Amino acid sequence: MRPEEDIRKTIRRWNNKTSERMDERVLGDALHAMDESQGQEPYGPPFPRRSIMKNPITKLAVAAAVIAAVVLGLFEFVSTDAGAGVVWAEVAQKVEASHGVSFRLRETGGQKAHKNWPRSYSVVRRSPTLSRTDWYIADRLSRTVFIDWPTRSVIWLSHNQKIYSKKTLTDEDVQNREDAWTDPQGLISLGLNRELHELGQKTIDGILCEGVGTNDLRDGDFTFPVKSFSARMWVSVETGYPILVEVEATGGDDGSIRRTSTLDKFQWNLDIEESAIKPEIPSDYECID
Amino acid sequence: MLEDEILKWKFKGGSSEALARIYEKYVDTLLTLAMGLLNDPYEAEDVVQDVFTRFARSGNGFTLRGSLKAYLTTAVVNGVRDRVRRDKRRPARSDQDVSLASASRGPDEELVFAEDAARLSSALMELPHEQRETLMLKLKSNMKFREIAKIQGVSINTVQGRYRYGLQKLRAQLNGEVEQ
Repeated sequence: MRPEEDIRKTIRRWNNKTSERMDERVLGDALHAMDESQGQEPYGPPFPRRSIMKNPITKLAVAAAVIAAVVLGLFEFVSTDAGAGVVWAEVAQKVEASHGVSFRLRETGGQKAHKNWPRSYSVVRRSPTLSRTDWYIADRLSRTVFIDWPTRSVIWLSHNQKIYSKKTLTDEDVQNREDAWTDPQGLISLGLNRELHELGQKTIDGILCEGVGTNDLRDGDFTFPVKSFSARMWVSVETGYPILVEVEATGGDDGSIRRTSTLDKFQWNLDIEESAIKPEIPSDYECID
Repeated sequence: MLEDEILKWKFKGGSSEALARIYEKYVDTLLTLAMGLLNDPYEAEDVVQDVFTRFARSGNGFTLRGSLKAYLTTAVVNGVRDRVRRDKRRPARSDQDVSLASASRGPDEELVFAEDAARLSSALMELPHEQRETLMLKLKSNMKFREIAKIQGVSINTVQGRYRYGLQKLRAQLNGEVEQ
């Protein structure tokens, strides 16, 4: 006879997992409903359009880029002792002067953003007026979001589903873009309050780099209690531009949450033209507006 | 649960990231509960979707002093009851129905069913709904008898009886299957 304790254990262990598709649909609908209830105009119907911008995946990507930018802003205040290969003040100036940048972003532990790690990732290209993010799964292009900030126009494409949408950003979206987190002056003042440590030198992909890191999470915005936080940036000694940024946060009630963001494959000082990054909409894609 | 208190506060303030984290934290448990009560992946997914959509709409006026998990669990239980009431004549689906339904979703949509879970799910469907609900809430959602009694609107003794009889029947069901 099968003991009752076995049955109890089986029920306790029983765990249905959601699919990626269900996550996108159910969470997308919920976020859409949240916007509606707050009197905001949602980006579109519940699914799949809602997953364009307010999707936490996108937000995490932006957050990672912001964290990177915060770290970048700090270097003006790191010592530049003789013997150091990198003059950090110059790094900050170069980064700030770089109008266009592209990088690869890989994340773990978030809202299943890149759960096929390390095979899925995003490629971000942006300038002060334009941005484009491409999501890849196993090197296959999955989704694209293009934003022209001055005209507030957004183009979103789902390559898997062969659908696209064109929307206009709301005032609030634009305001969010212009808050202190994306203002260089704001970033530098945030950086003033942080403690940094130098990481020394190491070679990454054949490039001699020098690193700096921080464990200071003041003003960090996480939805869980953070037990540890670390951010590290490695800069090419030769060019003075960052080539790798790693961010890690752990926490949660039982300490089980671990989120990481890795930004690499940087290209700095790019001239990003609209014609080069505005996506072409294939003729067989269906408009869902 | 410090994390839940932070999430509740941020959710009330309109944080979509908080909503996403709540979803991430509880969706699998809620889906399992719905699946245990309905034995139908489509219906279970719909119930969970309804729960999160309604929850998201409640953001501005959201006030909850109790447990977030209990709140969402109760919402799933109520959602399942509505469906059962509305669709009372619908026969329970068999194992084959479930596997076919899952397979038709394609690889990225397929819900994961362990062999034990599939048998268990079918056996649970042979129980009266109240007993099934009691077992799932007690064993899967880890609720106390008094919490279940409150949800079901009956005495604690009744809940304990449902739990005991439900477990015995489930044991008989699964043993019968093993012996076949």
